[in-house]
Amino acid sequence: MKRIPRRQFVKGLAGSALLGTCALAARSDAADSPVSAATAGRGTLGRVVVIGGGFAGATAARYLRWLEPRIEVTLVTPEAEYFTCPFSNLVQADLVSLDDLRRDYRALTDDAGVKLVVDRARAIDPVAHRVETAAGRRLEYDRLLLAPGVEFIWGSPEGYDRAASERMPHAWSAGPQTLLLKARLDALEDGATALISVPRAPFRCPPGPYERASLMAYALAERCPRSKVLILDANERFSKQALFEQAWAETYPGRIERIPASADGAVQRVDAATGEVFTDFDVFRPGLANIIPAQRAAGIAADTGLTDDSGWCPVDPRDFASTRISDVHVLGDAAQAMPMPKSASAANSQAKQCALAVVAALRGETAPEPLYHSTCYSLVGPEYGISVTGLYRSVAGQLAALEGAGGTSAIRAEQLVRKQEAAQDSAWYQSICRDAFG
Amino acid sequence: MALISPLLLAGCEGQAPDAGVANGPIAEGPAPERLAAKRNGVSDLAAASLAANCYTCHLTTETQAGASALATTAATAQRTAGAAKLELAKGSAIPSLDGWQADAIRRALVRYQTEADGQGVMHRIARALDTEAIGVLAEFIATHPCAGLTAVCSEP
Repeated sequence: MKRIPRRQFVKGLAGSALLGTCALAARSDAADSPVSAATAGRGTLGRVVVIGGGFAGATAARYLRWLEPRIEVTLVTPEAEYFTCPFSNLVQADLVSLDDLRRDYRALTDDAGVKLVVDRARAIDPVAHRVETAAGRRLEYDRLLLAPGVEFIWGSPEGYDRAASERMPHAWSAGPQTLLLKARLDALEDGATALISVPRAPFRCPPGPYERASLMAYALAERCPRSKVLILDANERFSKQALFEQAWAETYPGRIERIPASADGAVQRVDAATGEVFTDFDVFRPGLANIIPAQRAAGIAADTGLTDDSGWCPVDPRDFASTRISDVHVLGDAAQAMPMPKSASAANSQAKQCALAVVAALRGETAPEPLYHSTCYSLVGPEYGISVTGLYRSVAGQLAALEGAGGTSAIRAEQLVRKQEAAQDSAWYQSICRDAFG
Repeated sequence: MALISPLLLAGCEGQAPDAGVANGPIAEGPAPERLAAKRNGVSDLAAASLAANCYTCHLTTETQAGASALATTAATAQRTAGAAKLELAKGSAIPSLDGWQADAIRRALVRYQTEADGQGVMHRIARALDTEAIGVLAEFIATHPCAGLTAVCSEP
């Protein structure tokens, strides 16, 4: 389906309009509402439905209401609670509990005035501008923001299906799988290997497998001094590679081994019954197999025709509007947004810029030129943090990293710097959760 | 976009946010691609667009002074029953932007730009901003404290 051309925005925005909006929208005093005299009392400016209650969806819902209280925002999410994938690796090392990762939507409903529908979005009718839920609700929209996240491609690697994930946990969705992996790690016998299988990119949280390997090594250091972590990687290179490898050499010498794709590191098949993991030329029998399956945009995106052959959703980098269906925006992991990573930080940034564009469109104003940002911290140990930062903008219809900005932590740095970045990682987590969920 | 962590202001830990920050002209930096803040003549929307990135990291409850004092302990593992526990809620190494004056924000960002060997997160970010963008950001953040995001929105 071809996208309907971007609407013509009305020019001549009053210079102080948004400054007034933001300052006043924060108040509960209707007399100070940014709603102009001309439009006050005429109902909503528009209806926005947001599908998905992760970082992208929650942030978008919150910012839409903050920027423009006249917009009616409905958030559709299958659960009343959400466990964050960020920091879920820390559960493996007993640095946080799963309960620490629990978030809900009360602040969005009670403070921001978002309407919450706890239900699964079953179908989207882009012609009628309507979302249907599993329970039979029909939600009409002027704009739809879709942030459904990823789904696993069962059978990739061969033999890895939902049932196999109970024996060989992926733990790539925070929740019961996180605890299952931790239970397996806690039960590992000294001398046994913990194996992590990394799928071919793109996948959610590019540095995640390597942070996990680090924190597994940390967790095993005292209890299982003869055990090691083996990473079988379907990729050649990975995020923050030089920093991770240096940290492993310094902190966990001989405890973490990685086999890249070119050295037969890509896992082709697993046998959940025997616990065996197969590459092209080798068979591994680890004490623990953590299989991270290949991923694509969640099913509702494909069902609606929003994905292309890559399995992800192509978008206009100016506002993350789908290039395939009009008045639908795709945010977060489901979007095809290279070179931005599929991270919570990137999703949060995309959601804000999209919210600004939607507000501008519904007001008939000109949308700002977006600047996207992502900073991904990784923890190698409790006092050893590293990070990568990227800034991106739209150039000729593509997302492009800003040259001269962004980058990673310094390769050569004092321990204090690593400690500070670990502390910043914790602060970042607090802040982004507050930013998204209130 | 993270902004102004006292920890990243070398030698300034525990001091006021503008302490030690040069008042000179803004250096152009090592040939970065600059971001213009006022394209399309829509400075307010553009400012919100820029500033929204800052709130990702700076929507903490800590003041800059408190964050500075707590930073050294925030990452310190508390070993209890053999398990380390990060202090998730007690301290922050990244301060809230609440209460910052525009000039202090402006000067701190300039400082990040001019520290050529700086590789902290803020150094990496500040290099993306030109003089105008910094000015727009500083004014917006100073007049729109983070607390606005957590307050009740008015119903239309």
